Amino acid sequence: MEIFLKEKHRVVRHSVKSFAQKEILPIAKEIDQEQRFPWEVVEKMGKAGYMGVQAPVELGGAAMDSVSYMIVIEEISKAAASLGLCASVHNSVALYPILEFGTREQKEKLIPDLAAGKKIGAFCLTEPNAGSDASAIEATAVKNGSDYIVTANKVFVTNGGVAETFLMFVKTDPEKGPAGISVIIAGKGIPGFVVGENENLSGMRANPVCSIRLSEAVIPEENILGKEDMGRLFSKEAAMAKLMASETSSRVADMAVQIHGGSRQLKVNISEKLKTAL
Amino acid sequence: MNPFDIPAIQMALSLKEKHGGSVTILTMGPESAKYAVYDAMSMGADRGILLCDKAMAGSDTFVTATILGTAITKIKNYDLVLFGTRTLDSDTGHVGPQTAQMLNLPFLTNILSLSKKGSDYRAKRKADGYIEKYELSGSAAFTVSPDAFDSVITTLYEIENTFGNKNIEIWDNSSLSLDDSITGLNASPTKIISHNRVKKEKHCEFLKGSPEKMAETLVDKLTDQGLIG
Repeated sequence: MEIFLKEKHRVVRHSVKSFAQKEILPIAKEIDQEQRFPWEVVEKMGKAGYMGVQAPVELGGAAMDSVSYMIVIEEISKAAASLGLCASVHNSVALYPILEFGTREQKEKLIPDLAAGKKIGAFCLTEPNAGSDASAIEATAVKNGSDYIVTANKVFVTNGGVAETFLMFVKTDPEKGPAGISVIIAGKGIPGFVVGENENLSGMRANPVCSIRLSEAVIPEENILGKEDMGRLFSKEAAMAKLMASETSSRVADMAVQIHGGSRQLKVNISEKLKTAL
Repeated sequence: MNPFDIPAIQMALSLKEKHGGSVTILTMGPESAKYAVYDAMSMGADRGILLCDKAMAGSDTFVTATILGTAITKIKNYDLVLFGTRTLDSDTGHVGPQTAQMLNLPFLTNILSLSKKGSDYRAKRKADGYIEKYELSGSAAFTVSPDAFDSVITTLYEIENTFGNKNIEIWDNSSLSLDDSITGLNASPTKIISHNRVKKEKHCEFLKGSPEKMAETLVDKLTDQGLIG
């Protein structure tokens, strides 16, 4: 794939790879074992532009193209998948929807801090009874004057323990079914907002995945992302998550090559077989 | 980019920050080497030039130095020439010193720091367990030690700005007024006759005697080989 990259993308890869080897790789094992979110590294990722890769310059982003963004996620994920996960969710399903569907006020208010990595974004879709089937969500936002009363029980929220800007999928018009789903932006700390304990994950443990509950939280109507009933428009996460998984697998394959050095056991070259399988 | 070139670029940029001036990146290579020039320009260099011509292919270090020296002479207004200590591939360390010789410039290798006072340069280098300090008058050339700077990471903002606003100049033999007959493999006085991987050999020796005797023998053998003591 490298031969198809433009010079800019090769420079991006060299730069992000250098960053990952210097700042992330040395702590990758420790943060995974200790379930520690490395704020000191994420702050540097923000300054390097990794938390606002495609956001426009005037809103504090790096204004890069999608290929550059994929390279950023690839190289971070090779060093620590938990941070690749953090950056991909933050960029793809928190910052990007605001940029694409938000009002001018929402963009100007929220994107500069997200793009600089000063605030982390999260995406709240999954519920105990609704995972891949987004239409089955039970969270509601009931209009009350110029506010919404939001009740939600979201689980397995990536970045949940450290995020401050949450995109919550709620039903604003249950009668419409999937077409009545909206996204409302909730800020951490409002009355009724509860952050659950971090999940004890089997992998990518440095990412604080947890539940987020809103109990009759009052959120002003200007926090509806774009307008009501736009909840079905977001689909970027899956592609980025798959990319990150493939790059993590690629690193495992590279490590296998280093460990086995191409040696044959039972007449099978383990590293070659692994590379082929991937 | 050759990692040994990065400290030289960092040194040039730090001097520019203190004393002004401009930094020009120069490298010889195929079209694909543009990536390395852009990489250097993303670090903050003002101008990038790629010396690229099919007739340059296969040049040894002597001819490479000739081409680089010709290009530096064409640039004209320079007062400092910095090199990495060596390349990542052939690892000769020749090109910096040979180019300095071509340009008839005073020269030091492997420097750790460099400052400017008036028209003079003051350099520090480490050699044979000593720190040496030098003063060089007027224009000079240096190779920069890999230990001179901690690595820096260019940001995405700097990369986007480089590709949006800066262009690389490509100079071929004709733009350098060099005849094809004096560049490339055929013009190179140094030829590589063979290039074979060194075989690594392991020897295993079992010591005999009491544990105390074996420990004593082991210490002696390690000491004799300079591995301890």
